Amino acid sequence: MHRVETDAVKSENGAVPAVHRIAARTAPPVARRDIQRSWDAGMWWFLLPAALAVLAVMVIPLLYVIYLSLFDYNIMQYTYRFIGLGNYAKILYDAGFGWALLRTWWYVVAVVGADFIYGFLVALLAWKLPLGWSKLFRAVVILPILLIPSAAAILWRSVIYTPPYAVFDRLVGLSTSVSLLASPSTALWGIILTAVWGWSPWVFLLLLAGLEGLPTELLEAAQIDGATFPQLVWHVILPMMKPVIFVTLSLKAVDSFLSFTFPWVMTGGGPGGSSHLLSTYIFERAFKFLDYGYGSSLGVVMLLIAILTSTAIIVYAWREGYVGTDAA
Amino acid sequence: MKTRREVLKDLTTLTVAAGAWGLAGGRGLAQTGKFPGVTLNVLSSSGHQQFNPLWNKVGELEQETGIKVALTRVPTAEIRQKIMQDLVVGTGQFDIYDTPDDTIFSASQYLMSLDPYIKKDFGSVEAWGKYAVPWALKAASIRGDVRLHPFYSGSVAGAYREKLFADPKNRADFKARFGYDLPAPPKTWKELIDAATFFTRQEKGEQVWGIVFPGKQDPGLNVFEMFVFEEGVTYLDDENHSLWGPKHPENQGKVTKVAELLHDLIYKYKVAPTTIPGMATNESVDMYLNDKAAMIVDVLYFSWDEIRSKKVTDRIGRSVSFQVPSSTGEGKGGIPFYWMFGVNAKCSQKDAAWAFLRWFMREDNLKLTLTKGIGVYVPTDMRLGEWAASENILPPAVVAAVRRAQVYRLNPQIGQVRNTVRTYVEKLDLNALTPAEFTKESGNAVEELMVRTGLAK
Amino acid sequence: MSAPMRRSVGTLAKSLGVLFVLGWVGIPFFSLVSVSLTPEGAPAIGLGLPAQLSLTHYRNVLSGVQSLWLYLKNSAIISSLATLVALVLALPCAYGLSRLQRYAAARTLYLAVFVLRMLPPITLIIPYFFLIATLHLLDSKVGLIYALLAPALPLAIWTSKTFFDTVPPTLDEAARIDGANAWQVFSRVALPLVGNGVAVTAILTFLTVYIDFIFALTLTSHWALTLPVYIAGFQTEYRFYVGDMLAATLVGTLPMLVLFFVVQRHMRRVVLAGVH
Repeated sequence: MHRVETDAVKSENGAVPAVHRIAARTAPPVARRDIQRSWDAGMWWFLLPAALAVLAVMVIPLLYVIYLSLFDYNIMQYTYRFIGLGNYAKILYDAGFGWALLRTWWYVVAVVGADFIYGFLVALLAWKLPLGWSKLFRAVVILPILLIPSAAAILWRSVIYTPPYAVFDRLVGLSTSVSLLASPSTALWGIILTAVWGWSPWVFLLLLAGLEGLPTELLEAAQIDGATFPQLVWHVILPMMKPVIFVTLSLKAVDSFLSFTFPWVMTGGGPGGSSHLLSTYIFERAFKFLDYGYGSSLGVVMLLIAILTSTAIIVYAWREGYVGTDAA
Repeated sequence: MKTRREVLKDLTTLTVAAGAWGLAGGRGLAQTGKFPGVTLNVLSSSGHQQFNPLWNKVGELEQETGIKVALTRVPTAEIRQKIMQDLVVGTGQFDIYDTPDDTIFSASQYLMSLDPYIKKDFGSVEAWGKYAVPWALKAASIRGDVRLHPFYSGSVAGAYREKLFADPKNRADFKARFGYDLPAPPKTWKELIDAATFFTRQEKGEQVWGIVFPGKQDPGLNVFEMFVFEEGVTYLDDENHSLWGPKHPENQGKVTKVAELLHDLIYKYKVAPTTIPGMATNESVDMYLNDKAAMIVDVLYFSWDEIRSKKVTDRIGRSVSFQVPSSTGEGKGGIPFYWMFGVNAKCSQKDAAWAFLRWFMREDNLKLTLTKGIGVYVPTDMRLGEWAASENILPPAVVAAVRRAQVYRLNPQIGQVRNTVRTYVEKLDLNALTPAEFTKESGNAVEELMVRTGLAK
Repeated sequence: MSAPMRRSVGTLAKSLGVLFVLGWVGIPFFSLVSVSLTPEGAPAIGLGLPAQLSLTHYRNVLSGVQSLWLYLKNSAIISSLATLVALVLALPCAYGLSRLQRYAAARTLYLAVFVLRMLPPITLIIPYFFLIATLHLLDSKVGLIYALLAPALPLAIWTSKTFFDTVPPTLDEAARIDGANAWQVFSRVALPLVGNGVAVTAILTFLTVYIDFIFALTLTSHWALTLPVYIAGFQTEYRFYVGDMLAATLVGTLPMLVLFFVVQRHMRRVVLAGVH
């Protein structure tokens, strides 16, 4: 009646570790429920160290930032007084914050969209290439992530966009004295392009793994039925990859929402605040204008938005079955 | 396949290797000298590359005195916040601060008095400051006693391409078109605009501009400040009211004219590039050096070594510096920029800090920075300044501008005042504001700041 | 379209795609190398190699007042220790969450970890600054490691839990019945079986903290400054230091190269784990 799946516990050379062999041989019937429950009671202790860490690293700081947000605490103006929800009222009139919020949403859509298109198409390409070339190709595709984000931002900011090197201008045919980052209407686009260049290899890797995990029989069957490659992709592959795509893109969306390194290093929010995302706007408030109270309140608002969004993602994923519980 | 143990081994090896690196690369604690084992944390601007040769020499200081210097450098745009944050919040990360002019007043209340050390080494403050530019001493002792050590100053100046301005054909064409001799250098706004108009042209398909100047962050603000100061308008009156706010309507016309000049150079006369709002000094100098502009107005001393280097003069010829023109030709004096070293009052190594300052300010060390550093500056020590000018190390116009500069009123919020005006200058350069709006809004913003902080009655 | 025609179109599309990717990735990297080798004061080339190659920029970042050694060392030590601490806290927790899945509370906690992973760093940084300053831990490795737990811990828990899920609970039960206590089951039965998963978690966590910029930017200035902040710190309005910046960038890439080389065989599992 009692079976132990020794296959699952085989190590690489096929041998089953001693402990498990013994367990398998002497395994008694499944434990009774009350014993089970007493075992479980002990398991909760395993969560304690992490829980304490979360308390120290997240809960307490968040309580503190909420506390700070109730003060007008501004170093440059030598103020430190309790004003209750005054900061939050100020946010309602803060056009800069509103623009930063809109811009951030726009940035998320653009980056995730571009990442997906690039990542999926290149993954298809890598998947369809003959094996030897494919490995080399993959190595080339992931090169951008070897450059740590701040370094990629510096590269694009100093060489690709800015005169006199202006590689981007030269490639596109613009005069080399024009910098994408210097004009309010194009600065955000410049950042988006760089972010896509720097992070899309991750999306590529995830989607490629998804592609390689597809059941080949289904694909072969469809091809025998006469489907062309585009039809195959559209009707068979994409639907099957929905869970992978959803998880990948929602992770990317959250990362982009919180994005700080690229916009800060490339433009610092300028020119004239036209490329501020939420993170950079709040950072500027708190650490450039040294307005800690107001910065804290902005941070709390951003936190609420992040919590709502991530909860929505989880609920959606739960309903669609992407995040199962794998319950025993 | 790597097991967990092997991966852990890899990680440990990496960490051990990194640690060995670090220990091997680091210096051991010096056990000789007056201050064995002392480390001073110095905060300086990464824009001050003039002092690189000296920072590279701190090993000598350590050998002589045992003092180790841990240098942190942040961009100029961030250093004010870093200084104030450290002093006001009291985090005490640094012992010595390279303090910019507009932060000196606010920072000085947290800085150590240098008087006892000055008196010990020089006898009196007068003896010590005998050769310093007067306004520098005044700023250093804003709290009564000397809280900072001056050493660095500069100003905004213009430069023009000698080859272009001396060319006989150009001179003839200019005279034919405008009716007077090509002004070299331009001394009034009209001369500036005319010369810029003349030199704005298409050359081999590339746009060449008559004039270029920065519009971004500090450099952008500095250019505006220079022009407006030369018109006789500084920032605050004796009662801390904005000199072009609601209390001083008589100045608003002048400020609007300055705003118009800068704005129109870009958008009306079209003699300056529209990318100016995104350009700081490095970009504008680069444009000038690459033959894309005939004139430049900027904090030239940062690039003077490059501008007068053989590599550059071979390519584009010599450049002649000139003082920033005023509307009528009779300017009242520009704005000086100055930095001074201050010591944290809570510093636990006060004697060592003074020893560091003495070492840094030694004549041969400062001369090293002026000759071997990247860029130059105008030393507040006038003897050094004269020596540098005679060696042609400093652009004459910047030295003259520093001498003529107007001292502007300092108070705890002067940094914030300039911060505030800077955002408006950026908007003006972006054409997001009309010159009249600029004057009104920036004047009101400064006035409101002064009233809100209780400095203006 | 006939089959042979489709094949040629396919081949054409593939070739174009490969060329595009080569250009897209290759051109920026080429510029990176080219500019880092351009001598001081040489005219700016953009696309192409400078007339003379020079190693001045590399010399500048490998010695002297701007050298990167301290910051490289800091990055390596801080990232390793932060990963270690995160693993020590996360592995038991993930194991627990895996085994307690029958309880709704545990399932909710697991989903809560996902929410924790999305806490905006900027919201945390303001209180971190004050908390760490009060403890006199600004610009210290300990302070930064504390802050880095915020991104590292949820990631480590979330990732390793899926690996623990692959170990059947029946093994646990069997070992328990044999008299092992919970900790022994964890350390002798479950943990060895997820060795691969631990490696994957470690790699992902290490990568996440190594590239961190915002925490290091705010909480360090010199002694604990990390490589990403150092590279971006060349920024200045007065002179171009592009050559130096890019030389530092290339040198700073080497640890990543080493890391990727070491883990290339795990790549696929790393990636799939990242999905969860």
